[in-house]
Order: sequence, then structure tokens, then C-alpha cells
Amino acid sequence: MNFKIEKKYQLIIILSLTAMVVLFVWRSDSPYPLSLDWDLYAHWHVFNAMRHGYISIFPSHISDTFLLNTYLPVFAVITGVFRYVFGFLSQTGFYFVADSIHFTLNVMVGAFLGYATTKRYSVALVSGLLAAFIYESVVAQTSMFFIPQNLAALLIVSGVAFWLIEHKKVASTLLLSSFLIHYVIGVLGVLILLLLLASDYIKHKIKFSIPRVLPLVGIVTVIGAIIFAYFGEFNPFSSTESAQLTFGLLVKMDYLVTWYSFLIVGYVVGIWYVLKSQSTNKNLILGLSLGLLAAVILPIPYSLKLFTVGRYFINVILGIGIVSLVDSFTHRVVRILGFSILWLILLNLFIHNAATFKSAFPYHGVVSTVSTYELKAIDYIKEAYSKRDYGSVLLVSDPATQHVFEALTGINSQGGAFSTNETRNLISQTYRAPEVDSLLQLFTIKDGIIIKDVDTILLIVSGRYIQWQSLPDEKITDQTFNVWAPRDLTARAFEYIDKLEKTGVATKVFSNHGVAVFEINKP
Amino acid sequence: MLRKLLFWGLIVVSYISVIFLYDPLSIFVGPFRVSSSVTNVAMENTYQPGQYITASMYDDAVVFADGTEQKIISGDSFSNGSSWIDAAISDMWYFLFRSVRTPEISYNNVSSYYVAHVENDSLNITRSVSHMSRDIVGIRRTLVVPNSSRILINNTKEIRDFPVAENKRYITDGIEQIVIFVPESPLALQLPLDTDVPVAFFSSDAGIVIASTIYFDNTKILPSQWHTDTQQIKLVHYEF
Repeated sequence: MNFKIEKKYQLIIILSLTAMVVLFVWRSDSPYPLSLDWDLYAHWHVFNAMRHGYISIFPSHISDTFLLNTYLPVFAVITGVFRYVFGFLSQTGFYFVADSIHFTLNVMVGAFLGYATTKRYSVALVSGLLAAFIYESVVAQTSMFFIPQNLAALLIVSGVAFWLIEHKKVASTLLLSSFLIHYVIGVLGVLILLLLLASDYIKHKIKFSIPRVLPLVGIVTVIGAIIFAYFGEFNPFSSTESAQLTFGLLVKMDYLVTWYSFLIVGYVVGIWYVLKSQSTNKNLILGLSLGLLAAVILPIPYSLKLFTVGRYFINVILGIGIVSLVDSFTHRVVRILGFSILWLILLNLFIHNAATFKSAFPYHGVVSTVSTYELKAIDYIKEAYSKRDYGSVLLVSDPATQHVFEALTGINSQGGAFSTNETRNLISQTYRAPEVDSLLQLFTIKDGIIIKDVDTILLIVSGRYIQWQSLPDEKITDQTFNVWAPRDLTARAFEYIDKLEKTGVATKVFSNHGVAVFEINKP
Repeated sequence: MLRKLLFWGLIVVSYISVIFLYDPLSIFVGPFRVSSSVTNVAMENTYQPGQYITASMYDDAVVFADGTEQKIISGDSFSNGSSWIDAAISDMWYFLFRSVRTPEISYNNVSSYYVAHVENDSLNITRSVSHMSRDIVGIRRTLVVPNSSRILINNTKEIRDFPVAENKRYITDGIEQIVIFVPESPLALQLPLDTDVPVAFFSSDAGIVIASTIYFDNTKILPSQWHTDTQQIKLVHYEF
């Protein structure tokens, strides 16, 4: 019997197995339900407030966690709907599932773009493998996190792929909808749609193919961006974060090599073969990859975020380069051997980049943004306080603890991880002088959105709280700095807890090795 | 032909870049980040960065059948002892075994390498040593802990402090376990011990040194063969 699996099923099987391996590696030290997703907490703040009637098209008018409006609250609503669909999961179980689904979609969309561009399963395979294994451990972090910029990128890339296979209405809808998810990435989606429409229009009117000239335009743009980057940086913002996220040209090149290894050289090979091929689709994707690479190179803040979209186009060109070289082998066994070695190198790359990223969240043998002790405290707070009038109870702690607890308990805090300097100073005072006056001063904290009389303060003394309190003043008010990893209580924390209990106004209502929760009622 | 060469060239250069461009990875146990260098394995307290517990080849010694000792390494700088094989397997080693290891170092006929491996709430430090011509019967293993640590011996509630100024050795035997309280760590380090092994405590600039000599069951081991000793460090909660 001659048993043969069709190529498209081979592709699906290999990519599915690869996705399972990558997810296994990623989750091996942060098992269910532990979460690594930091940004999703902020969207959950918005959804919590929306559930209580705070509705606006601007997230910053719904929750004071948001200081800028870079997207509509659509993403928060999507996460909210999914949260109820997966309501049977534990608190962070939803984050685990959402991130895993996002990762799988990322692999499928990567392969889809590869196939739509070349109509070759081997390019789709390499493109899908690169989408699975390449993990940008800095800023972009595309594959592993279900957040607005990454969802918008998936919409744009799948939109372009649908355009290439002539499903132009679906493509236009996807490209336009990216704007609903993320303004900056969405503008890119709209610009790409305009380019595609203009390309079609001009082709019919004057028989001129825009994709044919796009690679040349792209190469000139990349050279221009490199020259611009060489002469310095351009930062119109004054925030510390924007300064920290403006990287020099050499740093970006270093990142590129770290994420791809020298395999990135295959991108140049891919450019060569695309230019030789004269294919409209390939030229279009090459032009987009070069244009986006130029945008990433630009010495402006946050430009590295555009790699979230650019990676998929770069991966296809890199895939074309690798497949063009593998095609030179006549023996099928040698081709399989070549792809197998490539797979192992990519796995090694992923292990390293994932571990590098996760080294920021070590917590007692696992990697997570929340500890099991914190989850138990969250369960307690939800049970005891969530039925109270929204806004009448205020969570108070260090920014990171506020961020996680507000999302998972549904109890409001001032600003989550982005609390104001006034709030930070008041909280800092409760540690420096754990006395009645400083504790009652917490009632003067004003939420930017929810204007209600606070009856009860829940002061969360976590390991992170103690570590944050020990920082120098400039770090206390630094909104880009947080104690990202969970921490347990140390001897110093227990001494502080004793002092709080002795004040007489703070009642310890819950404690374990990681968290003590104090209730302070308004006199 | 050119395309074939280009492909294999790309594969080889990519793998070499993976091997040599990246820093070694760390593993974690409790609040400690465990990493290896050329000559030691070290646990860094993530709650107090810069605070280390170290097992170093510079501090350890091998013991020969005639009772004499020889430091595993001394004096020379061993800034680069890793081979390409060590580098090639280090990431996979990290992922598959949650281990970090030093490369194999040879000095004065003694070869050695250390491996740190996480198992549940414990870190196992395995010291492997061999001598080209002489029979090794034991190893003097040391652990250097931060100077401000407090040490509880045999659960007797007697906590000894070892101030930096103290220049004396405190040697005792009959110890079953030592619990080390490292400042700002939520977990203490528990070292199980054989009661017939004397333990020496003394302070140095690097920290408090805890040293004990372990003898191998060496009846069938010949020179040049590897002798291994595994020291377990358990992480335990304790009440303040």
C-alpha cells in the first residue's frame, strides 16, 4: 500500500507538533495557571470598570491605569467576553489559554503568509517555523502574548495574505479592523490597505506595477533609515519610558542577531532570489518587509514595536532564501536533513531567548507574574469584598501588586502600576512611618476616574511591596520601574506587619508566606 | 554547488553564533538564581542582588590516600576554560536537566567540573574530581555564605553569628544539619550532614566559610577515574 500524506497535511502536522513543542518549552517553568502576561492585567482593569458602568471610547476615561489612548477599549471587551466564555478556569487560567491560542494563531498566520506569497508549502513551513521559534525577548514579544499590538499585527498580516489569494473584501476588513485594536499598528494596516488599493488601481489604469518598484523603494528607505540612525535619535516625548525605548542602530542589530542568530543572513539571500523572480506577490512582500525594517531602524521611541508586524514579512523573505538554497539538493533525504538541523537550531534559539526574557520573573522555581500565595489572597479578597459598592473599597500597595490585584480581584486601585506620584508618596510614608496618621492619610488618595467616598482601604503587604518600599526615592516615583516578579515575605516584612498591627487602625484579615492583607476603615 | 555551500555555511555559522554569542543561562531555586562560571557555581539571592552563596574550585581541595591535600585550583586565572562542546550543549543541558555546569578544568594534574542541579526545593551541587596519577580518597568541600548570615546548628536554637572580624575557626562534629539564614531571603538553606564529619566554620573577606571533608568509597576507583560528591542544599520556610 502506498501511503502518502498530502503536502498541506504534512505542513499542518509539522507546524502543530512544533507549536506543541514550543508551548511545552515556554510553559515548562510556568505551568497552568501561572501567567506571564503583564499587559493583559491593564485591559482587565478597563473591563472591570466597564462592568460597573464606566463606558467611554477612551480607555483613559474608564480606568486611570491608562495615561494615553493608543487604542479603543475594543480589546478589553474582547478579553472580557472570552473571560466569561472561559469562566470555568481559575483567575489566571484565562490568560494562559488566551496566550496559547494567540501563539497558535501566530504560527498559522506566519505559514499562511508564506504560502500566499509563494504558493509553496516549503516556504510556508519555514515561515511558520520562524513564527513559532523566533521570540523577540525585548519590546516586541510578538508570538507569546495576547495584547493589542500583537492582535493588530495578526489582523494585518492575515489581511495581506488574504489579499494575495484574491479575497480582497476579507483582506480589507481585517486590515481596517486592526485600527480598532491598536491605533499605531492600525495606521500601518490602513496604510498597507491604501497601498494595495492604489497598486490595483494604477495597474488597471496605466498598466504600471507598484510591487515591481517596491523593493527598490524599500532598499532606499532602509539605507535612509540607517543614515538617519547614524546621526542620532529623535524623541519628541519627554517620558523616561520613551527614552528607555529608543534604541541605537547597533543595539537593534544586536537584538536581531540575538533573536535570529546569523540565520538572518538568509534574509539577504531571500532578497536576491525575490529580485531574480520578478513575482508580483514576492516583490510586494519584500517591499513591505524592507519598509517595515526601515521603520524599525528609525531612531525614534517605540520603533521596535513595529517589528511585531515586520517580523512576518521578514520571515517569508528569509524562508524564500532558505528554501531556494535547500532546492539545490536533489536528494529528498538531504533536504529533510537540512530542515531538521534548521529546526534544532531554531529550538535552541527559542530556549535561549525565552529563558533570557523569563529571567526577569523568577519566583521560587517557576516563572510568573503572580505567585500562588498571591492567588490565595486574591481569592480571599474577591470572596470578602467584591460584593461591596464598586469604588467604596480601595486597594493600596506597591504599583506591581496593585496592578495584579486590581485585575484579578475586581477591586479598584489608584492607577494600578501607573499610580501618581502623590499616591506613591503616601504609600511610601506608610512604610517609613507605620503610624495611625500615615495610614489614615491613605483615604486622601484620589482615583482619577472613580470619584466615590472610600470606606475601606485594603493595604496589601506583599513581598514586592517590601522590596519596592526599600528602593531609593527616584525609583519609588519611576513609572517604568516595577518589582515584576512575585516575592515572599521576609523577616523584615514580618517586623513591619507587627508594627502595622500595633497601630490599632489596621486589622490583619488575611496572611500567608507571601501576602498580608490589612483592612483600614474610615474613622 | 554554490547554493549547497551557502546553505551548509549558513547552518554552520548560525549554530556557531548560537553557541558563542550568548551568555550562559541561569537556573532558579527558591529565591536564588544559580549560575556557573569557569571555576564555580554560585547562588545569587534575587531579593538582595549581589549576595552570593558560592561553591568554588579555588576554595575546595582533594585529599590523597596519605592524608595530604591539594587545592583543586589556585593562583592562575581561568578566564576561559569552556570548550565548544560545553557551549554547544549548555542550552539543551539547561532545558533538559535544569542544570548549570562549569567546564572541565585541569590544574596540577587535578581535573574537575561542578554541576548544580535543581530538584524540587533543593539544589544539588555535584563536584567531580580526578587525578592523573594519584588516588584521591576524599574532597574538602566548602560553601561560602554571606558574612551577615546567621547559622543555626543542630536545631539547638543556638544561633552563632560569625562577624567579619572573627579570625578563629569553630570546629565541631556530631552535626546532623545546619540551617543558614541569609539576610532578606524568605527561605533558609538547610544542609543535611553525616554526624561523623567534622565541620569547620570561619569568616573571610568573601563571607563565612563552611568546610567539611568527605571521604569517597574508593575501593574500586583507580587514578584518573572520576570521583563525585553531591552536596544537597534544601530550601525551607522558617518561622520568624
